[in-house]
Amino acid sequence: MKPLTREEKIAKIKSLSKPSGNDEKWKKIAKWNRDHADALLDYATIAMRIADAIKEKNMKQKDLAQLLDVTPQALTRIMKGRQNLTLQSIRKIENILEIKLVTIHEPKSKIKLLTFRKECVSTQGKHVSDYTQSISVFSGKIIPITNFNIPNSSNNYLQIEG
Amino acid sequence: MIYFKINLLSAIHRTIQESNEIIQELSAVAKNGLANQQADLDTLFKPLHKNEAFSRPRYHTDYKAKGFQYEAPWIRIYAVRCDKNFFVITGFGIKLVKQMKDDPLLEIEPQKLEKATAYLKEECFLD
Repeated sequence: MKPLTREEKIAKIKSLSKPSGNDEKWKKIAKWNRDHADALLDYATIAMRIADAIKEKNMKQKDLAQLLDVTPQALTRIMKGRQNLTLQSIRKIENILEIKLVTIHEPKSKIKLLTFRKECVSTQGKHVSDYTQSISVFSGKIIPITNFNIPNSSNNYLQIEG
Repeated sequence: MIYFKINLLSAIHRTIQESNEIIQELSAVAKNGLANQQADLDTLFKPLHKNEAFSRPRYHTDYKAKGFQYEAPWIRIYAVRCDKNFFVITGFGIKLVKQMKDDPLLEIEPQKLEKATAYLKEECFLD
């Protein structure tokens, strides 16, 4: 039989193959990857940590799906690194699996020293003393360095040092 | 036979990067459609067999595409070349061995190429 021309081959392959369009699976994956290019490796890292934790806890994926209240298909998407997770979902997974997936650090230059300042006012309305107490702030938690007793009569306020 | 030394997470990251780079390239070419002869599938795909096999008939139809970001890319796409800029993809894999026959997951790929070639010949896509 005579070989087909290029145009005939194109027409024939189109008739033989499944209907093509933008909904083809590989094109969807390509688009998703393009849209999430900055986070692809992070999704994979998260998926791998979840897989490790499931293994360590002798769980099955469907058990985790149940605990997370998601469908097994949704969890499969997470495990394939094809799900844009919300922070809430991440915390939920972390709590169930007792692991840490995402830690948010305050950049060092932004750490501010909060000074807890107490002004004691005498009965005559004069300042008798100023006590200042420094506390460090990191990751949203306030950790007092020492205990500090504040008399009821004082005016207390927090002052943020630049 | 594995000749890469890499930890699991780095291997996963690399596989994602490599496969994504090929899929983006294919996707960009696919946008132009089959009718566009300027699209560059002919530079993305290379003959699967070494030059010594030039006289063998399947040298001219068995093709592979691989990543280009790394010095030794390991993602492969296998395809039958039907015409200029016209390939029928038959499979893909991660090649961590020197020869395809050394990996049970890859050794079926030449068989798939052979079957596809036979079918495409029957349908007059190939000489």
